[in-house]
Amino acid sequence: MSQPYNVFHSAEFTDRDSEFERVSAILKEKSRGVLIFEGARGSGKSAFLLELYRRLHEQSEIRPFLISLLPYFADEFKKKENIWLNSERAFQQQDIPEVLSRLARSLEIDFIESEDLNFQKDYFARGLAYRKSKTVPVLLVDSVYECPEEVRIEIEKYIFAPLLASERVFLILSGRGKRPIWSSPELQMAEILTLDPLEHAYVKEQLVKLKKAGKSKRNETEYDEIADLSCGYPLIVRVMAESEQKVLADALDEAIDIIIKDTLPETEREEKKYLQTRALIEKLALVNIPFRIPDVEAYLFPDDPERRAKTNELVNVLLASGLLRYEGKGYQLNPSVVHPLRKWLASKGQYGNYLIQLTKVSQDLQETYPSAKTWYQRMIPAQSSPSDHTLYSSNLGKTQYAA
Amino acid sequence: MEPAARGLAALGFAFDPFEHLDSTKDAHLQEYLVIPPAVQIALSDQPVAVFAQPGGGKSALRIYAANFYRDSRGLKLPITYIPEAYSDEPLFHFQGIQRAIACTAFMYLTSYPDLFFALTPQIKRTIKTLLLDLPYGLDFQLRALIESRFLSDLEQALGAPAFSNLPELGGAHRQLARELEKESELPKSLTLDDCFALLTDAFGTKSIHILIDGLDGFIETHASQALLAWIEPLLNVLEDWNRKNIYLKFFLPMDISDAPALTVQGVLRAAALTWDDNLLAEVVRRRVFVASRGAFDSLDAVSAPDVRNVELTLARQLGEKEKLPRQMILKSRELLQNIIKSNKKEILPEDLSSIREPSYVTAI
Repeated sequence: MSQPYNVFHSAEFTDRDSEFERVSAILKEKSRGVLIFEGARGSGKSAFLLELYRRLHEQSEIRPFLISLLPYFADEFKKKENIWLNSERAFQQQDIPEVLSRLARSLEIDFIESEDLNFQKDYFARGLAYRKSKTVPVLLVDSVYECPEEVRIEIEKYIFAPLLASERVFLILSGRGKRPIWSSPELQMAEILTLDPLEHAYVKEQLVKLKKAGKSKRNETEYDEIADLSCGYPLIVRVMAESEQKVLADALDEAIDIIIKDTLPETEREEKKYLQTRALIEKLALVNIPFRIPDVEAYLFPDDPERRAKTNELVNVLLASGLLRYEGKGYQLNPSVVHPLRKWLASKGQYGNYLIQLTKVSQDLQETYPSAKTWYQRMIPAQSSPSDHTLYSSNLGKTQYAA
Repeated sequence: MEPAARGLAALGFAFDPFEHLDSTKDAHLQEYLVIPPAVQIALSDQPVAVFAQPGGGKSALRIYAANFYRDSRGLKLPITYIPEAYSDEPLFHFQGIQRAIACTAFMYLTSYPDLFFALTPQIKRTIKTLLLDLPYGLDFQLRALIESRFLSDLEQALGAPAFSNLPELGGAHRQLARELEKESELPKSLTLDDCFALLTDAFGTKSIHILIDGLDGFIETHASQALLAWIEPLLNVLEDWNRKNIYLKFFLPMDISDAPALTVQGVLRAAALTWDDNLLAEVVRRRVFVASRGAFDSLDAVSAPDVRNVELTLARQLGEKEKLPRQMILKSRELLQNIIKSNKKEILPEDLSSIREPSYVTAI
């Protein structure tokens, strides 16, 4: 069964006007293009693509088709043919022939019949390239960075590449974490837009809509604080609004768990293992520079002779989960994890402890690498960060009982 | 695991990004080739001449272009023509192109065998006639088709890429071989125009992109004027073919870039593959990104923190005449090998200063 927050209701959708305008302008001005919306976990990429699909559907000259690669639920699109949405499981390689078949119907493609499924897949792909219909295909694919590499390669080979042979075509994709390795030049040179968190006023608007739909358990006096704690990430807002937790810090904790846990591989979700990983992510959330593995190994695993190997392993897990990516000079944790975690750590009184450890590591690095002194000074977050929040603490930081 | 592979893995690489200097052998070329903006016209619908020094990336760009067109599944058909010998016969190149078309058509049919069964008898006969021109003869290739298990076996034998991704050859391929064997040929041989028309009629091709490469070796033994004279018959058909959506794309040595025979061709767009430090740095970054499976996109990630912009530093160390991708790849390869050999965990400032000596590279 899908998680209750992986649900789309157009009535609850908020903002993103500028992104819709950008898409409209591109569809009007250009004959073809690839647009990728990147955003942190919980920034509302899936909901945005579903709302975009709904709006494009209303335009007669456009033929939208949506593929959601991770489980999602949207009751209002249940009867639509030109959509691939599964609320139970992620998209798999064996789903490609069925998607191609639906695409063929939706885009009025002529293709050669073959009894062999592999042959059929290739004939569909050829049909996509030779498409004759006058309508403009707009293919929307959600979570394209996060899906397994072998699935993404097949999708590029059988769907994207042949479709891109058309004179008029648009691909609109969304993804989080490390960018995939594309073969098609148009995908390599795609226009990339970032889906930023919602502004304060829109968070409140989202809360009002959730209240109207009977889902929010919060009262109006808490809206400002939710806007602040959630840092504007729609998923966090939603979980905090729907949470049974009375204390907002605990509701934030629940949201952070969802943000992190869902993205981790199955083997990392077992409770004890998860708590250890979360403790390490909490520590990383304070690192204020793009970091290299040697920069943080002593901070994450002090006194552990295997700290390099363990840091490598953690980085690989976080890269695979899309919570981390290499950005410019090193790795950076997803901002939708960093900012809420800093606020939560402050509320639990744990922020200062980590800061002391990080400061020590930063000083050691400054001594070891004197020519990079300024860089490592910036490793520590500004003192004023999240400590001005008054929250009610009811239990210890997770890191303490995970240790 | 070999020590070198272990060393690469320890640095976070799934494979050696600097292993191949010869782009024809590089399986990852499509993923990491950097195309300078000036030569992106090589992928456009027009006749093009791309000029570069040996090691400047001509063959890599030609392979990239062929793969790019291949993705359109025959709608935009790439034909690769690499003259294997020299002849001053006026029809020499056209015969070579016709043979290249036969190879491409054969690979297209083996990619989509069922397509053949739906064609008209006349087109089937025309195809049979064209395929008689295949290297080693049609009989040999049909036997190879029956005995091969994968499309890649045929690709290697013909030197032409497949258009589909079929994992294994099946019953349809054997039927195709049988039908082609039985099919009768036309009473007279085909002209090149017949061949072009066939590609449109049989496969629905809308444009044909003839990629002409491998001329560097020629200029090493002959004067540049002789090369121009040799390709003159092709220059003479540029305009006519352009009108028919047949685009000749030459990959030529830089020495002849200002030759009047080329510059007077109004329809021919010319571009030079030239490299500056930033582009050369990008060559390395893309390879690092792909070889680390997207984990990082700079050698900075495996360097000491006071080492920044490794790629740009390496590019700046190259002399003016060495600012070529091949030199850059060699230099990066040497850097990585030194790190691995000395069992270091990261690139240190002194590692960058120890590889300043340039090395000599010849054309491949």
